[in-house]
Amino acid sequence: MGQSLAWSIPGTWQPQANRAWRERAADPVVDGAKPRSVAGAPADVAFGHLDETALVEACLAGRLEAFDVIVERHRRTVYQLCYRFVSNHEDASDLSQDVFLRAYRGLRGFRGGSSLATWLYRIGVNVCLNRVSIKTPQTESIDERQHVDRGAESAPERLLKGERAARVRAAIAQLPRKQRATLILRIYQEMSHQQIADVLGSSVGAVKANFFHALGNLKKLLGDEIL
Amino acid sequence: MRHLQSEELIDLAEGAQPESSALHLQTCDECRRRLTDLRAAMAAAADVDVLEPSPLFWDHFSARVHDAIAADGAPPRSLWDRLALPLSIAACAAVIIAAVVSLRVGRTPGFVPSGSAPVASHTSPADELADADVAPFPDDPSLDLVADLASQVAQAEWDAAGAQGLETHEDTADKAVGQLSAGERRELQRLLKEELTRRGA
Repeated sequence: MGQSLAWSIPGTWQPQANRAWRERAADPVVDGAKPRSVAGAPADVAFGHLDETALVEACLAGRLEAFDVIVERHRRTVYQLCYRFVSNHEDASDLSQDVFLRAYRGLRGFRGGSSLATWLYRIGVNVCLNRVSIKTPQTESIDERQHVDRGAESAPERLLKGERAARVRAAIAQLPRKQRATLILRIYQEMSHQQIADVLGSSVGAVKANFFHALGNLKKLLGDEIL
Repeated sequence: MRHLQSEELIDLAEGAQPESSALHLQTCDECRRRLTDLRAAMAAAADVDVLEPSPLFWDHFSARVHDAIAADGAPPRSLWDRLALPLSIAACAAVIIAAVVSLRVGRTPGFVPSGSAPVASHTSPADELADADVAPFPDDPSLDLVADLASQVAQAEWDAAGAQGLETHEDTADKAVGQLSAGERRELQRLLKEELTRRGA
């Protein structure tokens, strides 16, 4: 994997990107793209094409539709992050909602020093770490995972893979907080060490050390038979 | 013999550094074993799928977030945004009151503000000469201008300033005016005269 761990969260901060969201929102051009779906309804095309700088400004000006677009763009990655921490759909859904609610409340504090995605990750990791520290993750049973696309796997293969995945999830859930967060961000969210350091507020060296210990502990917890 | 450090092993396991760059690996079974374990753990962790929710979930999720935020209200305003209006009103009020009081002081013969003594002791001869020019206006029409300015400040804005604890007091204005130098008072009167001339034109 190594080199393939190229992080690609879209929408990096562009300070001089337009500050005139009002003008563009008033004269929407969607470039022929299909309007986005926001909150179960046709997307607000006036905001769907704006970059994150303009979206944040619009939110601060009281345009809730702009935040709908932010949610739409980041909901999947935020949900996946939360799922990696709690390993069940219900909790991941609740935590994801909490992440966006906290982000909205703190939007005025977003200075653009990092991308909006990194900022959301930072909130997400804090929310998840606080949650898992007070609640033991409850992994879903194999029967509850009917919606997972298993492709051409046979039933025995699915069963074996499901059991193996459950053991790995349980082992990850036992890792210390920083190690768990580092492993999740590195392996599942494919963030660089520097980006993880930004999210966790630590150094690249500390991230690598945490990752090293996380993998070592994972190896011990899983034993030789599963590796 | 120095074994590879954790950072070096991570770089090797992720492929950020080629194994050929670590000559130590060729002679150390312990480091090779640790590297193999790291790669095996990474592979095991990476093999766990993300459980994909139903496609219908996303719209439902967005609607939930939308409703929660709508119920929560607008993002809180920053401290500066909350204080900007009351502060500007208070500053405006202070200037107006200072102007009124200074004009009245100028018309009162023999009046010496209590706070002006230290300032007066440092005034230059030029300032003292200029002070002689600060004479009261015959009909003092500048007071009308001040009254007009004050009337343009809406009652609601005064209330807002009061609510923020930014009310001004006459005593405060007296002190402020008392600390104005003769030159500053002269400049204030010049500005008022200029404004009166413009209004009269």
